[in-house]
Amino acid sequence: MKPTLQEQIEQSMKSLNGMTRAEASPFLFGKIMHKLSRQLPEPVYYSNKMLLRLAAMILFVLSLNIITVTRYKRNTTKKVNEDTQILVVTQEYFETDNLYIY
Amino acid sequence: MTCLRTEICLLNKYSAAANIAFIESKYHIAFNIMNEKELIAKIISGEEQAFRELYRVYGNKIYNTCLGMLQQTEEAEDATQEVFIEVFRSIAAFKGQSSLQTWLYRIAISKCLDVQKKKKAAKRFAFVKSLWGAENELEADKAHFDHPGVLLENKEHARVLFLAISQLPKKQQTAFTLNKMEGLTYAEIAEVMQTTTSAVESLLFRANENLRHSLSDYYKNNIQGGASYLLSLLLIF
Repeated sequence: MKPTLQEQIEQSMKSLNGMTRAEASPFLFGKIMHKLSRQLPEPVYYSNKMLLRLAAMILFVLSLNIITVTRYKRNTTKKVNEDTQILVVTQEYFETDNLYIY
Repeated sequence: MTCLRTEICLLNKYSAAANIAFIESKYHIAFNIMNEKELIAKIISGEEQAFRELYRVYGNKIYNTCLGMLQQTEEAEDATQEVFIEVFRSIAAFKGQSSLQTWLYRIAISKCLDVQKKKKAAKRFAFVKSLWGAENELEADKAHFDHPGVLLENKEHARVLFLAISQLPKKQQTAFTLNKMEGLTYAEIAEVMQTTTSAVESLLFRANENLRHSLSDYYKNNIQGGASYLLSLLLIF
């Protein structure tokens, strides 16, 4: 005899009773470890001496840069001042557009 | 030592098999409680043996949960891998406010929901592509899933039930899977889902209602389908 609709629903609802836990593949842990080793880069260790040297080098390069920039700025402002002085003198001499009147 | 002696006395008193299981489970739980912090500390320091122990205890639980949520062996394995990689990376940030098991289940559920979301998006994209006449064909609907742990006599009904479970709203699906497949209590599910016990109760009630509804639809259609098939056969002959 064919089961009724209600019986089929009940059978389906009870179909998970007594089920056991599914077991993962025995190789899964190996796969995880492989993935982890591929993703994590090998840690790189530096000695304190080397770190100090590196810091000193960076400081030296940085100070050189700062000195160069400030000197360049000072030079350019001096040049601008000289240029403006020349301009003022020329303006005094050539007040009009007429070149024949002095 | 005294502890071992009392266990041996217990063994003499009761049936052997039941007691071995009892002792195993007792020591196992004791190990979990006592060594959880130690285990975490060892994993943080990079001890592979400790990580292997964590996997030994929780690997199958996480895999079974992922399998219940995703209903595909390969996807469940991938999700389990992702869970343990995430655990390895972020175990230093684990504050111990919940149990390690709860934390692991929480990561597993969020990973599975991510996979489901990606799958849905891919399906939608394939649908749009098919509308524009691209060569990709629509992805075939999910084949019926066979859980390896289901009893042989229940396999056919379980297949239909899993199909109905996959159509449940995500929260109901999560609560139902954790309850039916992992055997977690309402309180444990509430902790995993970061909600209240009463909310879990209502989720499970609604999940059962929805499942009954979709099962009824499925069987009605199947019966009607079968009847129409018989009718067409009669008309031909």
